[in-house]
Amino acid sequence: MANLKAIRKRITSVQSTKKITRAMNMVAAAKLRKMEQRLLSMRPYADTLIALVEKLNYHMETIHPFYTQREGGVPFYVFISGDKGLCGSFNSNIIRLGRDLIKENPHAYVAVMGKKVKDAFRRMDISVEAAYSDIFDPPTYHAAQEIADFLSGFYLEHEDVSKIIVVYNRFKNSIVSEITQETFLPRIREIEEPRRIFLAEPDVTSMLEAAMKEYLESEIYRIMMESLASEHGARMTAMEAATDNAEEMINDLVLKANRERQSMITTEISEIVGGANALQ
Amino acid sequence: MAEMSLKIVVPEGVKLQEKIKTVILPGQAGEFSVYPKHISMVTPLKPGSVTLVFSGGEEKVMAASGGIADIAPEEVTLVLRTAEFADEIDVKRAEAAKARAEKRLSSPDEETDIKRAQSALHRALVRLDTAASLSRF
Repeated sequence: MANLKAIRKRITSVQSTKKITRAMNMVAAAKLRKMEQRLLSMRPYADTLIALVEKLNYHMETIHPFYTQREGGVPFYVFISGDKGLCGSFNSNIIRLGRDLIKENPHAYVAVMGKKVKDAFRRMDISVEAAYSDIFDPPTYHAAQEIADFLSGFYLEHEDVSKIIVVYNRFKNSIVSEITQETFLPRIREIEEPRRIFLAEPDVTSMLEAAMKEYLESEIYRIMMESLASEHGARMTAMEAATDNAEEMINDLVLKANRERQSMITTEISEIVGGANALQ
Repeated sequence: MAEMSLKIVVPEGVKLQEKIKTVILPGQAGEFSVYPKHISMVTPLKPGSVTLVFSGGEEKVMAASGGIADIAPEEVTLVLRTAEFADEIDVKRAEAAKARAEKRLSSPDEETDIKRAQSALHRALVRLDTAASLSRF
């Protein structure tokens, strides 16, 4: 009797868990769609800025420090995780890769974005130059600005930084994201813009600085959104699997409960039959 | 009538792409107008209002919060952090932002980022100004 009650209780609890995971799955799917849209519409902005930077670059007599490759030195890693869990291996993959990269390069500079990687590194006693958390809900341009300014300032001040590498989950589609190591600084020229005569007010150098700053900010903003889109995708997949598992578990438990009930009835009948027989 | 194409891009996408006659921009040294066949020029923009004059003579005002203008004889590209048409501006929100920034500036403590408060105030004023311009036309 007690056993049957326990199983029924279990079924109810799994059912409510299933409801939660299904709701989380749907929320993640909706947020993912929104983020995907924002990522897509961000593209013309970034493209226009990089074209502008390249154009200005051609009119500089010297090569901008952000375009000068450095020799020697240690890398500066920026690891990006999410602020929240329940999204499969999304956070743990970044943390694991981070740990391995730092083991390889114990003198590397490190910065973290996202609560999960921040907390994990604190537990592992990895010292960081900067830690940002609670910046993803929603990702603001202001946060991206702050981070981009910090990184480019750090790069200019520390000559021993060979390059700044951002490690994050790059968004491919709603099911696939890919851990990517992307060089944030120094930049490499991508577009060959034909030389065109133009005026720059007040001057080319300060215009380049302004355009570059804006471009780097938009890059961090894009990376934040890519990571967030990947997080929603990972959470959607994880919650779908959890919902399926809950479904399976409920089926098993219902079967078990029925079997238990049947055996109770059988016992009762045989008791009655036994009792009736004894009276005869 | 000579025309040129104007493209305004913001982080949220391409805000506007249209043929226009003139555009008045908030430059670092004050407002300036750009007509077709302008010399190629790249210049920063301050937060301020951008006035578009379409071929039919119709005018539209936008509140912009700073950026860069890339001007070519046939085409003007504005890269702006935000750009809102006058009728899109949330006046209540801008007023609240103005009040917030004024309060922060009138009683600053150690935590106050004066520069940030000042630029917030400036942006709010630009928005309110632009929204007010609706009644002018």
